[in-house]
Amino acid sequence: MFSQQLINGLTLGTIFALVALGYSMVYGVLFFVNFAHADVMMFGAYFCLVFLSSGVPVVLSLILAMVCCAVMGAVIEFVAYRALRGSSRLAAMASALGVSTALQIAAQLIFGSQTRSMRGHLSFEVKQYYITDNAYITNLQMLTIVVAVCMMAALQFYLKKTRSGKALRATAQDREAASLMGINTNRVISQTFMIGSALAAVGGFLVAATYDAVYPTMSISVGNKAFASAILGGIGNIPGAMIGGVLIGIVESLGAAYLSSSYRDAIAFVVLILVLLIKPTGIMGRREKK
Amino acid sequence: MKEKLKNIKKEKLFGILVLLFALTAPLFITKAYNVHLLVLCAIYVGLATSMNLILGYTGLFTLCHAAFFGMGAYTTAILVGKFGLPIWTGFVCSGFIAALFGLLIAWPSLRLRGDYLAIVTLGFGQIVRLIELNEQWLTNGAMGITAIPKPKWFGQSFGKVQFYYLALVIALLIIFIVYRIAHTRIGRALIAIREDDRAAMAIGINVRSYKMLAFGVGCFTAGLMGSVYAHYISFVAPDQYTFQISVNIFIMVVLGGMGTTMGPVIGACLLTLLPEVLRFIGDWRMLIYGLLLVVCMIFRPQGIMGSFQIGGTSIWTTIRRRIERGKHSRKGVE
Repeated sequence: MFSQQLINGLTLGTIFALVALGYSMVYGVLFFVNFAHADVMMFGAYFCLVFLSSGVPVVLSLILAMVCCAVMGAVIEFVAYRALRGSSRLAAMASALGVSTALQIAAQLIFGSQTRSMRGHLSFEVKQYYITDNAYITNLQMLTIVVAVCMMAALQFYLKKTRSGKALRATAQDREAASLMGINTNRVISQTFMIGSALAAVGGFLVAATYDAVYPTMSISVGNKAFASAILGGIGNIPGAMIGGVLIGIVESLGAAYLSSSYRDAIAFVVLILVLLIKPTGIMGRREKK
Repeated sequence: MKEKLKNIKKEKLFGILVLLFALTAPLFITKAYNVHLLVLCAIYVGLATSMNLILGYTGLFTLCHAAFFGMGAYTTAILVGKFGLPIWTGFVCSGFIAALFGLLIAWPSLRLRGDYLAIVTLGFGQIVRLIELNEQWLTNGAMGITAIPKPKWFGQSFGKVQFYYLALVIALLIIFIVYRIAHTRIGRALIAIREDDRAAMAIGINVRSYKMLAFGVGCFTAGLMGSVYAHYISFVAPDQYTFQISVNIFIMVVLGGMGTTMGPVIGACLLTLLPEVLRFIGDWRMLIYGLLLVVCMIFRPQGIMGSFQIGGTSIWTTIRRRIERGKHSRKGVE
C-alpha cells in the first residue's frame, strides 16, 4: 500500500511540478502570480483531446497542443500583462484573474461543460505492471514520469546551456541591467510565457490522462496545487518548483490513503503551511534581500 | 496641496451622493429581483471594505476572505438555526468566531511576506471549505443548514427591503469603522507597514500587533456580514463561500482602488451588477466580464478611485518605486 501510494504520488507530483514551473518562471521574471496559467493548462488538455479525436497520433498532437498553448501564453502576456508591467503587481494579478475567468468560460462555450474522457483516444491500453507483490505501476504512469522528467531536463538544459536561456536568467536577475546588455527583454518575457505555457500543455495532457477527465474547471484544483508547489519549493526557483511539486504529490497521495480521503485537497495545504512556518521562503528559497 | 484638498472634497461629495442614492434606492427600485441585487451590493460593499482594511491599507495579500464570511454565516446558522439562540447572539458570535479563526491563522502566518501569505490564506480557505463539507455533525455537510429564521420587525419577518436596510446599516458601520481606523494614528501605522514594514518597525511601530489588529477587524466585520447573509438567504452551504468569492472580493478592492474609502464601494457595486447588466448577451456574459476586467485594469491600474488618495504620494508611485528599487537585489530564476 505504501509503495503503491508513493508511486501514485510521484506521478501526480511530476505533473504538479510541470505546471508549477510555469508559475515559478513567470514569477522569477515579473514578480507576479499568473493566475491564468492553470487555465492555459486546461486548454492544453482540450487541444490534445481535439487533435487526438481527429486522428492525429499522440506524440504529434501533444506537440501541436504545446505550440497552441505557447502561442496562447504569448498572446495573453501581450494583451493582458504587458501594459501593466509598470504598475503594481496586484493590478496585474487582478488582470490575470480576469483572463482566468474569461478562459474558463471560453472553454465552456467552445467545448461544453461536460466531462470528457481522454484515455479512449490514446493509442495504447493502460496496463498494470507489478513491481512487488502489492505495488504496481501502469504504463501511463511510466509515460507520465518519463515525459515530465524529459521536459524538466530539457528546460534545465535550455536555461543553463543556451544563449536565450542565459538571456532569460539575466532578465530574471535584473531586467534593466539585462536590457542594457542588449537583451530584448520583451522578447525574453514572451519566451518565458511560451515555455511555461508549453509545459502547462504537457501537464494538462498528463492530468487529463491520469484522471481520464477533461473539463473546464479542472484548472482550479490542479492549478492551486501547482501554485502551492511553486511556493513550497520557493517561488522563482526552478529546481524548487520541481521538488515542491513532487513533495506535494506524494504528501497528497499518502495523506489521502492514510489519514482521510475526504480531506485530500487540504492535506497538501496543511503541509505547505507547516513548511512555510519553519522556512518562510520555501524549501529552496533564499532569504529575501532587501 | 490644493489639488489634494480638491480631491478630498470631491471624494466627500461623491460619497454623500452615493449614500443618498443608497438610502433612497428602494423607493424607485421595486422589482423583487432588483432589490435582491441591492442587498447583494450592500453585502459585498461591506465585505470589500473589510478586505480593504487588510489588503488596501495594511498591504496583506490574503485570498480567504470568503472563508471568514462563510464562518460568520455558519456560526449564525448553527447557533440560531440549529440551537435556536436569539438572533443578536448569533450576530455577535459570528463576528467573534470569524475574528478568532482569523487571528488563529494570522498569528503564525503574518511573518510571511507577499505572495507566500496569499498561498497560505488560499490553503486556509480550502481547508475551511473542506471542514464545512466533511464535518457533518456540525455543518450538515454538502446539504448545508436550512431554515435559518429571519429577524422580526414588529411581529413581521424581514422582507427584502428591510434586509437591504439591515445590510446597508452593517455596511455603513463597517465603512465607518474602517474609515475611523484608517484616518487615525492606527491607520497611519498600517499605511507605514504597507509602504515598508521594516522602516515601520524601525520607527517603533509594533508591526505584528498592528497587522493582527487589521486582520482581526477585517475578519470580524466579514463575519458580521456573513451573519446578515445567512439570515437573508436563510440557508448556508459550503459552495457559497468558495475561493471564487474570495477572488471576487479581491478584485472588487483592486478594481475600485485599494486604500480608498469609496473604491471598494464602487468596485463591489460594479462587480455585483456587471454580470446582471451583461445578462442580455447570454452565455457570453462571464467571458465579457473577464475581458472587461482586463481592460479596466489596463486603463486604470491604480483602480477606479485610485486618484483620490489620502496623504502624500499615491501608493502606486511608492509601490512602483519600491519594486524598481527591490528589483536590483531580488533573486530570480536559478
